[in-house]
Amino acid sequence: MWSARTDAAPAGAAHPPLSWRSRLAPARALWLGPGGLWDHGPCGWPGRRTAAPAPRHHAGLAGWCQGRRGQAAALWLSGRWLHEVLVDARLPLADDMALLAYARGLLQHYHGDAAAAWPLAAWRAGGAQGVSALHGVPLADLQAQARQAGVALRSVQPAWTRALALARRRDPALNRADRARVLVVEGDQLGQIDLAAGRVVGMQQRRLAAPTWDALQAWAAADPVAPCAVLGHGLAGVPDPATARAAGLPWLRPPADAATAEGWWLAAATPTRAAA
Amino acid sequence: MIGRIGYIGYIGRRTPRPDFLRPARRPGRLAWAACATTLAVLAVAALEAHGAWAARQAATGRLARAERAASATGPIAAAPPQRPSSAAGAAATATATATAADRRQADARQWLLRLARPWPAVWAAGEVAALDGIRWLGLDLGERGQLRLDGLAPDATQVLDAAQALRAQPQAGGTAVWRDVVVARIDRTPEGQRFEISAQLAGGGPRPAALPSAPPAAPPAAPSAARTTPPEPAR
Repeated sequence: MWSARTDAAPAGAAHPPLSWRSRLAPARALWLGPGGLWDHGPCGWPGRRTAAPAPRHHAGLAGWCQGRRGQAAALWLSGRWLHEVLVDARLPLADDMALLAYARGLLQHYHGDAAAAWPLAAWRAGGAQGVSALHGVPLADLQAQARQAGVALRSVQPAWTRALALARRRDPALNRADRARVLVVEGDQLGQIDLAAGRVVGMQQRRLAAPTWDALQAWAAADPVAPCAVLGHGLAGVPDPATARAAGLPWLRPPADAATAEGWWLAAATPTRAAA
Repeated sequence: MIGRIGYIGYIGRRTPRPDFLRPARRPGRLAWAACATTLAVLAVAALEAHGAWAARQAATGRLARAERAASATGPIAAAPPQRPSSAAGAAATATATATAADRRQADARQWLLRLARPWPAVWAAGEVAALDGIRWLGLDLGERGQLRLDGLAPDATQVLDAAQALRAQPQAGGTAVWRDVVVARIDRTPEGQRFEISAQLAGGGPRPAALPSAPPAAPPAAPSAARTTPPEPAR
């Protein structure tokens, strides 16, 4: 209702409208990656802590939706499905539609005609602006699966935004430093977010030689930045926190019950803002 | 251990929030504020409407009660409000509550009596007697049907003509509306002849003397009724 029409065709015309129960239900945070779907429990409301159960693995969204009529989901996507475009803030782009059109042209230039149909999402934060492009999974299929099962799909967002928020909360120095970096690791996939005084000034996607701590350390040694925060999953050989900090890559550890879950940071948060 | 809490309030303004379901920006705070203001205004209007409805219901109920009480006590043109004529103290205390109820009933009767007047005929009186050059200054109908017309005329004969027209004012049944039409006063003023015509409603209002239970010492209700003096000669 509020949203401007997305470029992706909404697939739900043939399905019955959602019930009020699912419209009002608290959304569950779902991680969607190459390894399947992880359910991280309900997203609470601000100021209300919810004791989430341990993350549970499902084959995909269709499997998760089985028997969940009347529930709601917030889908968070792995970096493998996405391309990120950071747009110069000085460009005269009046609104989000102009931003999307500009990014569409840029993506088509680099990725060919396939990019013409990718769903895009614009963002503006702290003076920076960018666009996320979804190329890995068909958004219309995800929407159709949810609608068919009577599940309300509240949002489909990149998961790196949550990782960035968690890293900033855990280490406020990232917001103040002239140059800072947040690394989001998903196996051998590496997302690098560069910050300047808390503003996003660079976004890159890299591939590690191997999904190991040593490979990450070797990669980071080429261009060391402090302060830096690293979080993610699927990395072998992560040392204890003291060693990691000494190596200049403070590794944000997942909660014990979510150690093996992909996208564990979707459910994790510090109790207070003051806790560093 | 790390607690698990919701995300909505914990992502600051500096954190990007792209959403493929809402690719462009969401409505701003101003839109939500406008929405909230609209809802508040609607809520206040609904409260007002409910209050007005309740007041109307109460008024309708009061009117119905008054009409029931009036019809239970007899015809409309019955006695004026009855007062406890005997000043006996014992009886007064015994009938204190009854007196209050009587007074309310009498009030209702009085209002209904006023409503039952032939108002169209009363208003028509001003038009029937409006001859050329006559300017009306006042029209007063007393509690018992005494009409007092106050005006300015250039000539005394026009005043007499106006009184004659009033005497001849017809009614639906063919009878005259007014009786005892007299020119009560004519004063010469710099503007002209200031005059006063008094009359009595023929059908609707009973004569003061004919009221069966009127207290003998009660003065006439309208002061104009006392001034039924013959017209002064024009000076």
